[in-house]
Amino acid sequence: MYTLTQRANALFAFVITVLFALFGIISIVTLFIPSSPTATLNINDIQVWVYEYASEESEFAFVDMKLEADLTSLFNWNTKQLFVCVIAEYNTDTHNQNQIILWDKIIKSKEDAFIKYSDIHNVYNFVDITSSFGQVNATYSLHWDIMPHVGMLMNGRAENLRVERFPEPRQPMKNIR
Amino acid sequence: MFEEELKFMRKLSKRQFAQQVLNFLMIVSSALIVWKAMALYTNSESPIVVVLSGSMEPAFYRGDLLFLGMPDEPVKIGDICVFKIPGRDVPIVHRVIKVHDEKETDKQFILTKGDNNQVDDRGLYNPGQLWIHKEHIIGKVKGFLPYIGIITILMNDYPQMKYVLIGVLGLYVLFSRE
Repeated sequence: MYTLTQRANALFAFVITVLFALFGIISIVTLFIPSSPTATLNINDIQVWVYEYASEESEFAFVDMKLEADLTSLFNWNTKQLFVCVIAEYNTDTHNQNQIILWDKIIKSKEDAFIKYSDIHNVYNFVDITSSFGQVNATYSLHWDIMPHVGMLMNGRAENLRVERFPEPRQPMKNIR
Repeated sequence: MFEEELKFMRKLSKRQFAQQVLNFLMIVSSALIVWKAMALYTNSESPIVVVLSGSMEPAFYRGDLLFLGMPDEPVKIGDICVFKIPGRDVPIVHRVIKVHDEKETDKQFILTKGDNNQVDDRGLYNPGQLWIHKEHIIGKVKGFLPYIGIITILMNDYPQMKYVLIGVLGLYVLFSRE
């Protein structure tokens, strides 16, 4: 005869095995679900101003963007949320890769996955690690991170890229003493 | 309840008792082997971590299980990384919002932020520390399993539970009849 604990143990072990096999299958299947996200990013305006930052003169960039994206196809039965962000990438003389998130948004449902903004600004400080961008070219693009309910994290980026040169820095008017 | 177990113990020969102890050690060591093999495979010192704070909500909640990997390529923007600040025990899971790769030294200057936090992590780093580097990073989040880690959280919050659980499991293995 089997005791109650033995039965409970066998049942528990079986449930765990089935559950983890299911998680495995789900995380593999999710990788092959097709999607066709589209996005258009435009730069309305970029300005660079020199301000004092940590007792040093530093260039701050201010980007004004227009964004339209249809990410509804990224939502399937195993999508928990999207982390969508606009990224600036540029190379300088001292640093061969610089990447900065300018703006981000968390989208939690398919209904909210069509986004349209005519006028968004960078929400994070857009400053270089040195104090100057050196008027190089920067590439702007839209990225997304897909969080599943269970399984692997995936990410992607829009094919549409914008390349813009940092303009000449401007000095704010100093108070006349 | 325990009388039966004690009777069972007395009935066991020395050889049988040794067998039970060996069984127990086998289970412990195979768990350790699996863990260390995963660490080798993923190149991360701790390939599975449990989320302990709400700073990455709504992506990760307390008790969610994260599977880590250590990619050979440099850290990229938007990656969710687990990192350890020197002198602090508890690792942090946050998203990379700035990366600067220095040309001369190939060193990466990384800034992180929790999705649910208003400000970046400079306040969490050591005083005066503006960036973290690759050597602080334990792994990059690759896979996700919700809720499972809640047991760890309970054991962290109520340490007595840990000993009770280990004790019960140990006794169970020692006294279980095949």
